[in-house]
Order: sequence, then C-alpha cells, then structure tokens
Amino acid sequence: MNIYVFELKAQARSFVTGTLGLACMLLVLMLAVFPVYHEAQPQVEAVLAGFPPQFAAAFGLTDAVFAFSGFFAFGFLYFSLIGAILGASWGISVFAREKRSNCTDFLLTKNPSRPRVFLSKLAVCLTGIVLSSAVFVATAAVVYLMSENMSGGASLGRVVAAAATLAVIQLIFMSAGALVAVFVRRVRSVSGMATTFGIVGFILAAVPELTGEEALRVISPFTYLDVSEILTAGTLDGGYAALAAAVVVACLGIAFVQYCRVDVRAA
Amino acid sequence: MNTFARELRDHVKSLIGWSLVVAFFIGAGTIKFTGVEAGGTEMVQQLLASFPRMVLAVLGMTEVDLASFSGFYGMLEFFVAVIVAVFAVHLGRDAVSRELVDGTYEFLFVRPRSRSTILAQKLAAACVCLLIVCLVNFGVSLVSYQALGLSEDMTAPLLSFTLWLGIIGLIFMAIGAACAAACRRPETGAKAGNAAVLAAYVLGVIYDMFGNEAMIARMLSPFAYFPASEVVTGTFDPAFVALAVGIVVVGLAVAFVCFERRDLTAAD
Repeated sequence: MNIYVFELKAQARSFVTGTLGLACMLLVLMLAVFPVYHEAQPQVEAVLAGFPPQFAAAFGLTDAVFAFSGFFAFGFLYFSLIGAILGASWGISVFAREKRSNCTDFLLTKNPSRPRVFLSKLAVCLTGIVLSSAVFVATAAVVYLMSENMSGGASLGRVVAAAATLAVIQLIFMSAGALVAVFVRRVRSVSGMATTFGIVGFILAAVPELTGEEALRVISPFTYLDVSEILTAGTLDGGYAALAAAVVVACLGIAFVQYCRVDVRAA
Repeated sequence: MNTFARELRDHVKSLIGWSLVVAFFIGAGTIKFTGVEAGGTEMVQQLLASFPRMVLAVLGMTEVDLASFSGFYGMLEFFVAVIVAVFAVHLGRDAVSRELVDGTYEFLFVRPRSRSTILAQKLAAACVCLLIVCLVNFGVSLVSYQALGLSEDMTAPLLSFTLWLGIIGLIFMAIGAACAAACRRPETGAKAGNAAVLAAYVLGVIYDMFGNEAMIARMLSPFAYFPASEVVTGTFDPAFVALAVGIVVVGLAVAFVCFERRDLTAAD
C-alpha cells in the first residue's frame, strides 16, 4: 500500500496536468473550431453541385464528414498522440524511478516482494490511465450533448466508445514504456523517451494509409482501433482489438518477469 | 577536438536508430507512390482549390498537389520533419545536460577548457548528426524515387527538401539546447524542448486549417515557415529565413550564456 501511495503522490502532478491538458484540447477543438468547420458544409455542397457525383464519393465527402463524428475522428488522432505520450511517460517514470535516482537497492531491501512492488507500480499507472480516460470520455459526452444540432450520424454511445479507445492507446504505450524502463540500463530523460515513442508511433501510423497496405497496420498501435469505424458503423475489428490486448499483456508480462529476476546494478 | 570525437561516438547508436526510422518511412512511403487518378487531375485541382481550407485540412489535402510526386513527397517530408525535430531537440538537450544527468560533469569541467568551448564541440557533434540524418533522407529518397522509374528529374526538389529538413533540425536543436541550459533541472529543460516540438506541430496543423489568417500560428511553428509548395520550387521566403536564423542565433546565445553562468549540480 505504501508503495502505491508514494508513487501516486509522486505522479499526482503529472496525472492532473495530463488529464486537464487533454480535456482542454478537446474542449477547444470541439467547441471553438468545430462550429466553423461545420459552417463550411453549405459552401462545399454548393461547389460540388457543379461536378458529377463521383467526386463527392471519391473524396469521401459524405454527411458524416461534416458532422460531429467526422470532425471528432479527425481530432482524435491528435488526442491519441498526446494520450500516448502521457501513457509512455507515466510508464517510464514509474518503473524507472529507482533506476534514475540510484536507489534501487533501497527499495528492494524493503519487505514487499518484487512482484508486489511491480504490481503496486502498475496499479498507479492504471489509476492514472483510468482517471485521464474517464475525464476525457466525460468531456467528450458533454461536448457531444452541447453540439446536439450538429451531431448527425453518431449516437452518444458510439462517441463514448470512441473516446474510450484513448484508454487502450494509453495502456499500450504505458506497457511499452514499462517494458523499456525495466530493460534499459539508464533513462536520461523520461519526457524525451516518451515523446519519441509517441511521435514515432504516430508517424508510423501514417504508413498504412500512404502505402495502402492493410497489413502494415500492425506496426503502429494508433491504427489498431479505428475510431471512424466505431463512430460510423459501431463495430471494431476484433482481430486488431485482440492484437492490442496481446501487446499489452506481452509487454507487461515480460517486464514483470524481468523486474522480478534481474540482478540490480551497483549504483 | 576530443570532446567532439567522443560525442560523435556516443551518439552512434542513437543516430543509427533514428536514421533507420527515417529511411523506413521514406522508403515505404515513396515506393508505393501511385499517381492519384480521379477523373482528370485538372478538374480535381480546380475542385480542391474551391474548397474551404479547413475542409481540406480535415481531409488531409491542403496546399499540395497530391497527384504529382513532389506534392506527395512534400507530405511525406512533413512527417520526417517532425521526426527530425524530436531528434534535434534530443541532440540539443544532450549537448547541454548529458554530463549533468550522467554525473560525469565533475570529471569533464575541471579540464583546462572553458565551458563554452566544450559546449561548442558538443553542439558541433550534434550538427554533424543532424547532417547525417538529412543525408540519409536524401539518399533513401533518391534511391526510392529512381526505383519508381518515373521520367522527371527530382534531384533539385529532393535537395531542397533536405535543406529544409536541415533548417528545421537546426532550429529545434537550438531550442532544445536553450531550454536545457536555462532550466535548473535537466528534466524540466527536456520537457520544455519536447513540448516545443508538440506545440509547433499542433500550431502547424492549425495553420494548415486556417491558412494565412492564422499568421501568428505560422510564426510560432517552424514547420509552417516554408510550405511544401514553396520548397518544391526551391523558394525560401526571405522573411522566414531571417526568422529561422534569428531563432537559431538567439537559442544558441541563450544556451551559451546560461551554460556559462549556471551552477552545475547533481541532477534531480
């Protein structure tokens, strides 16, 4: 319990700023920018009226694009980038804390067994993820209800489900961060490593789209759960959802085994 | 000279990793380039030109002509620029705070060389690493483009984009170094530098959405100083070149001045 409380206090500021940051971004994007975007619809339709209907289809300019769901799917990419960086930073920060302050021996000579220490740390990370995701989902629901007149296409349930995928992305990056933190010899900068994970994952998410190869979806966790699919069709690709779960379990499992077995370096 | 060589050696692993990421991204993206056929490109461009800019941004089609290779490449390079920016911030931060974080500063700074000399050598090594990544970008792009077998000679635009990457890298290296030198704790400096990259990226997206109405966004985001459509033709707006140079100079000045003055203590 002590370890949990200690880590929680150490991470509290990061949890709070991350949560608030995400919520603010969501509010600004959906309440300030979306109405302007939505107003562009009549303009676009006027332009398209002079062209054959295939053009609208070619660009995917259905009603959904101008509704809440289309814009939310667009913005979600950026929220998930921030969420991924936060998740990775929490994972690395919590699991490499002793390594960075050279007090691993201090902690490991205490009563709790190593599995217990690991699980306490994991619990803290999960607390952070649950907290930030809950606030994000609640904010998304509030924003949805406030944009009632422009919401066409997606029900509240689907918006909530789409927003909840942020938790999955944070989980994946948190477990990857934990895995790396347990294995590397030294962590010079938590935010540096976390930003690297987030940005590289984000950039690699563009590869399947650019190349058109569906198979390349596996290289980046951002593409595992397709938000636009959830919003329009209300379905998930089960295979990729299972892959996401498998990645989390594998990373945490390997990290757990390593944490419990590795010999501690002299400070 | 010693420090310069040592720094280069220390950065080798990281340099290889980042170069591989860039190479993979460019290679995968370029090889699969196929011209977009949507019933005649001229009509398509006319159509796109009459859309409100924000709609284009959401669809991901602003600025450039995606049917041509240069337009497509410009879009790829934007992503590579973000990667290079993150790497550059790391390099800048490392040059200033690595000795602090590693605890080896006592060893290094008692040597008969001024702090500025040492920092200059470290930053020079960082510049060399940036140069290498840019060259990797150019090399892989050239090879992949030739593998496509298209007739147009793309060497000039590719060089142009590589130069653009170098400028972005220099700007963010200066920012990373300045943040790390000015902040008392190395981690705070690192956070500030990384936040600068993210903020610049988001502002770049905002500029994409609102166009030149959001001039403030453009001025704050180095990614938006030279839009892809201008880089392709090799034109770099002199006003923004001056701004870029200004940032690099101010950033490096802040880094050197703060580094000379600050107290070097054990990290965190």
